[in-house]
Amino acid sequence: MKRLLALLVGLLIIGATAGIAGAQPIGNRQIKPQDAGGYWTVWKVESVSYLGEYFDPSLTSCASTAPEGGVAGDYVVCRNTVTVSNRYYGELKVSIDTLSASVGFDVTQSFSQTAGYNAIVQYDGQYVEIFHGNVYDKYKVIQRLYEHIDGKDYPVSYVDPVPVYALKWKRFYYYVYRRDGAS
Amino acid sequence: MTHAKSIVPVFLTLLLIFALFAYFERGRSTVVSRELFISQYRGYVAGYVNDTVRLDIYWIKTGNNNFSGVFGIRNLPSCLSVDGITLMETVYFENPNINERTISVRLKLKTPGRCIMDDTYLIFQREGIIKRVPLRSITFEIYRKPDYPSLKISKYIIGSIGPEPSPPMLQYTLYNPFNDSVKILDVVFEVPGLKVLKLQAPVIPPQGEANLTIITENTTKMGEMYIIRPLIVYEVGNQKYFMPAEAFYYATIPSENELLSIFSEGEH
Repeated sequence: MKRLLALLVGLLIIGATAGIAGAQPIGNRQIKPQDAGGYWTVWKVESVSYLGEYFDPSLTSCASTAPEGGVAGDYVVCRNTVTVSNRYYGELKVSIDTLSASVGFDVTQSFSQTAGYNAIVQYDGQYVEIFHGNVYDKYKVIQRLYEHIDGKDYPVSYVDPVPVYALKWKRFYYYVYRRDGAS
Repeated sequence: MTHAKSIVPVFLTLLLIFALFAYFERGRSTVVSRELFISQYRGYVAGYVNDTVRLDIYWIKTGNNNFSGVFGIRNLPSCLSVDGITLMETVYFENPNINERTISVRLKLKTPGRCIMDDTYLIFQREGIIKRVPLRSITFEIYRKPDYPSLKISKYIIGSIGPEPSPPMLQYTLYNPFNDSVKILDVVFEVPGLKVLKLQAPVIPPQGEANLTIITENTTKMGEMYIIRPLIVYEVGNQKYFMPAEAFYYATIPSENELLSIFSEGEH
């Protein structure tokens, strides 16, 4: 009988110890009254809107005549191999994969492209310089914080939605600067 | 005899390997020379008599790099004449098997008035084969050069080229040489399927510069090529003037993968 009692006490101690070890510290997991189904917060994409095209104003100089200008009929030849990429900016709350899936393209993809354009010199002594820039499709993605309570997600009202912008590379545009050459 | 028997499977295996190698090598080397012309313009050109306008035709090939031939322009309306044709490289591909040359046709504006180029084609002859490459449709508005001074265009977007269609945006930096402010009244061009979505036309101070921006949108499916040389209508004091802007060129050139897909069609 004493042995049986000792065994029961031992099992009770082991069970209690295991229970304490398996419990999560309150600091890591917010306990809510409705917590029977679990509680957590998660950022989700709420909406995606196409904002149209974005002509990136930053330009790269590609080719030019000599400062004193060129000869009428000559061509200034621009050829420049560059790495172009899709990209995003703003505060990203969801994962990059989620953002990519929501806009339908890989927001981090980059690839090599060669910008090429020729511009004619219109008169003797005209200075001509060709620049290239990038054209993107621009998307606005609204991210919203949700609370998961008892198996359902609810948008929270105490945190504002956060926008992030995704850009998909489309093409080059070419900019030409013409003036009288330096004499 | 035993020795001969053991040679037979080895021989057959070698024969099979050789046959497979020859088959795949054959498949790999069937780089049939194929070509594509991107030439179908839609456009509007305002200009003065004796101005020249360039039309670029993109000639893309795979399989060989021979771009020799004799070129000519046919069915040009009488308001225009050919001022020269040159061949140069302007589009570059990562795949060394895809090559491009740009056939650059310079057209001179001859007679004042409105004329439409809609049945003109590039004729190209090589090794007894003649090809006709249509240039589709461009409206020309040709004016005699007036004797009043005009605004100067110092910077502008000359072109937009890439694999995906995109409604054009035109931008001109205009210098006002007058002693009065200049007000831009209108920017005129008529291109089927394109319309002005937004016109940003600030007042240009005397001896100052400002950017004129024209954002367009497409009302139908985008074409592969556009040329737009709009007419800028402006006001100095109470006097109204106009001037042709610089030409803007637009082309959608398929990506390498799309080109390889186009070229491979009909091979099998």
